Amino acid sequence: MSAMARPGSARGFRGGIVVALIAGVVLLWLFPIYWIVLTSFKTPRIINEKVPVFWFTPTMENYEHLFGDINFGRPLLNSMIVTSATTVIVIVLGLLAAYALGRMDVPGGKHIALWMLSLRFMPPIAIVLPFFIAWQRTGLIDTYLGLILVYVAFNLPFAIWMLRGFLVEVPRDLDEAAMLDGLGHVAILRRIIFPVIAPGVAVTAIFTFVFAFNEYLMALVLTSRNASTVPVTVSKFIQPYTILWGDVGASATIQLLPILVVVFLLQRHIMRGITLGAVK
Amino acid sequence: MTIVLTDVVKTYGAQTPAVRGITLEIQDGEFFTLLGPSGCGKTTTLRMIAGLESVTSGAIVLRGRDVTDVPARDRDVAMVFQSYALYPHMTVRDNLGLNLQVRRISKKEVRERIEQVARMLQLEGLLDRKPGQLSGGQRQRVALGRAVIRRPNVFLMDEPLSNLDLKLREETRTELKKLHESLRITTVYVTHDQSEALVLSDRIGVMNDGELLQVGNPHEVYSRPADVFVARFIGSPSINIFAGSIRGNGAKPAVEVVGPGDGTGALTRPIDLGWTVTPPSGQVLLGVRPEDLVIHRSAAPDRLRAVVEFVQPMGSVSYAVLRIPDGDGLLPDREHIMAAIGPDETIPHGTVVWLDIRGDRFCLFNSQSGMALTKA
Amino acid sequence: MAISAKSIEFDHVAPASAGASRQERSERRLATLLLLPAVGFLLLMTIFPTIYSLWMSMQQYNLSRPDLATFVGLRNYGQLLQDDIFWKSVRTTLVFSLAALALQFVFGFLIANMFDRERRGMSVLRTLFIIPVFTSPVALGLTWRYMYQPGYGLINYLLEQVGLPRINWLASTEWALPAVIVADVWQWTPFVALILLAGMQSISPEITEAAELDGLSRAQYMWRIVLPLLTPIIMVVGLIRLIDALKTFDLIYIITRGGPGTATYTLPLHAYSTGFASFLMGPSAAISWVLVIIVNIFATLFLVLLARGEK
Repeated sequence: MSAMARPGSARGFRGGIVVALIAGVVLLWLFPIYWIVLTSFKTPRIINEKVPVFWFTPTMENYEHLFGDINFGRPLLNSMIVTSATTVIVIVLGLLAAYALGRMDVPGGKHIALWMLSLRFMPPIAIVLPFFIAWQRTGLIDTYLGLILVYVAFNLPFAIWMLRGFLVEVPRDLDEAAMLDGLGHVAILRRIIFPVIAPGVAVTAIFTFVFAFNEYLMALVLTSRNASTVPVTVSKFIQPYTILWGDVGASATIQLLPILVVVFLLQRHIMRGITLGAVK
Repeated sequence: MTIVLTDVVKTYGAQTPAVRGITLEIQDGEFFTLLGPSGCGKTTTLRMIAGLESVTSGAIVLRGRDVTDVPARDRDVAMVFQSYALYPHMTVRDNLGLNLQVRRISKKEVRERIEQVARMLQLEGLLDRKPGQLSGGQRQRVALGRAVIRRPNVFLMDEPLSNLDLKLREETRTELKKLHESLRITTVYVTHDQSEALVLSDRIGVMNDGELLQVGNPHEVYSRPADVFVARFIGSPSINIFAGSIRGNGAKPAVEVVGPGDGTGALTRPIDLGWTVTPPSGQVLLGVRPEDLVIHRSAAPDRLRAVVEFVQPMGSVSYAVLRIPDGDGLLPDREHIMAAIGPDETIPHGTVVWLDIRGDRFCLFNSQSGMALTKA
Repeated sequence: MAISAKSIEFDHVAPASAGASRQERSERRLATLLLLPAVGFLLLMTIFPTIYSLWMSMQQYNLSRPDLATFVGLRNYGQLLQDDIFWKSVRTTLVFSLAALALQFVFGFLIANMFDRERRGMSVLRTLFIIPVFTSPVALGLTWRYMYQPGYGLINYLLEQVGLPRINWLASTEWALPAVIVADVWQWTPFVALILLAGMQSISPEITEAAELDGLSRAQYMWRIVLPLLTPIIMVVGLIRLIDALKTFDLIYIITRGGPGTATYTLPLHAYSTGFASFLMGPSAAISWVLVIIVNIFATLFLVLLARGEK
């Protein structure tokens, strides 16, 4: 209720200036995104104009080329399949493990949690080679499954850590009250705990989805034709003597749309998801 | 005059005002308490004096200087917060010394003043600890020390005792009183605990609903409340309120509370002709504190019939909880009446007793407005 | 009535004393069961590649002739120590990571400080600001590359407008690394800023008010109250960001491929091209393991500092 005044934040007009200043900083910060979206509607001639062009007649040419000649639908489908499967598996395994770590007495639970966190210290470049060799021998190379397995391994520790954070925040009193109300374990999970942490699960799913969707190195090494993902395809717009800027713009714009929607739908929860783990 | 508030108003957005025009003068060296229920605007008023809250309209003057638009840090006021707000990452020493350091007072003097305050508040052994390593009472003393060390114009205290357990609270209350007696720094104290206010204050300002209802010393607000709200808020157990009426009776008017039916008697007291603001209807509210309501075992002309429900022992005194059968209309406040009795006296449930008022220890209020009727 | 009451009491009391531990045991069994799939999968998926890559770093190994692999001990590591490109890439990795980290914190702190006010519209701005974190490094690497273009790039155009000379950013050994750092700072500053902001907002308002009454200016408040209180958060975020920066591959690979020459050659890029362009699997694994060691040195350092700070 109280209008909190931090030291030095004088009342009145200075506050307005600060907001305008922040708005300026944010818009400037987002300019590269605006610029690439704009580029996606430019013809090659406008793209290569020496003086940047801000006003022009938009064209869908790049999008037509992207889905026509380049057949961008295929990698898009590949990415969707791999990423969706990864997300589902990560959330299921993650919820089980996080529930045990966050709300149950597990022998050595703390060590397990720390071990999972330490998996982050492993650079992907150090283990991509073994996977490459192993997948070649087992026929998992350039398959959805091969990529999904790797992505689950990479995202699971982080997801467990996040879900655990959300689960720890649910007060134990809530379980106990529900138990006294005569609910069983499963009913408590389904009717009490899950609804409370649902936003946390959604945020974890989004993080997993986004990071798996954006992943490049593993996909570059472990796929070639059949299971090639969006980032790998986009990186191939860099050609020996030119870069297909129009296609870059169009593909970047397509990737941006779902992110924008999700970020705005779940803005409050995403803030919490980002700060969880670090602030606690 | 240390603090002068002139018609101070605080409004948040389009809502009803949190503080609706408070005018108040607080004297040099005075211990002044703002007392009221939660949400009455007392903390907001305190925060406006501190400069932590802007003033919507009106003016605040500290020691002759209009500080209405002066930021908090330039007002030279010190505050003890309800949560103490100690800096968790600093030692007790640094918590005490921060203000002095910021004001560029010499290191030597800072050290001396820290020692002095530590002695005064028994913090000597704790100076190198951090707040997390202190007990609640110790934290409270550090918070107090942080204010004392500054020798400020004004001390502001926002329910500083409310986080302590009962026993410690009473001890600290005494300490606080002693501290004020020795330093005599003007203090504005906010609390919702009327007994705390009565014990500590030179004067009390009772607030409700953003308004200052009465300002007076503890005796005044207790025995001559300005209205029914103040009468009810101060004193524990709270005052008994009866619905009564003024009877003309020629040259000798009286107030009476007539029992519900034959043989139930009436409380009657003559009143001076000097009583002002007699409502035209003749209806009044009669307030009698539990210790001023006398219980008799036998009927008499000026006594009101009541029935004992049970007795509440409180140690040094007991209270009889009474009911007037069919007397709903007589008690606009609640169903029960409380009357003090001897600490070892017991009266069985259902006993019929007769009530009387001790001397002229009662007050009268306008039955519509609730304002006290006062002698001219 | 009395009997049934007693029997209920017995039913309740008797198992309670012995059953407490049984209940605990069954809970532990359930917990282990819940943990098993995730832990088992992770063990399988991390232990094998880790050991395999460590083993490989001690092999002479050619992808096309795996049967000719021979154990060479630490020779791959020994050769690295004499390899100028390796040493240069160690330096580049550290410069890239530490510079990016420092800039992210400077900008992050300033921006968080600006955001730390109760004003209308702040939450929308915060949400917009988060977007770069979620964008694809490949897509935004290309976006920056587009803006860095010498001929039609936006940045050179702006430089020219304010009277500065054009720079061939990505073809210049001087400017390529700063250009890549800028892109990384752009993507991750919002992350740092928003975490610092959350830290600032978790400071109790009464502490802030006490500081104000103690006469602290905004700068003193930031320096003496906020910064010390945020130290644990700063350490944790710093560690996360530093490790991620040390591991960065995609952004640099997309913008410069490590060039021009070896100007932006970091350890991950060096390991990648040694392995997948030159097919020298042993040395490539050895380079990765040097990176693993560097990451762990920093991680340990941070954890020690953090533990000391908590004491």
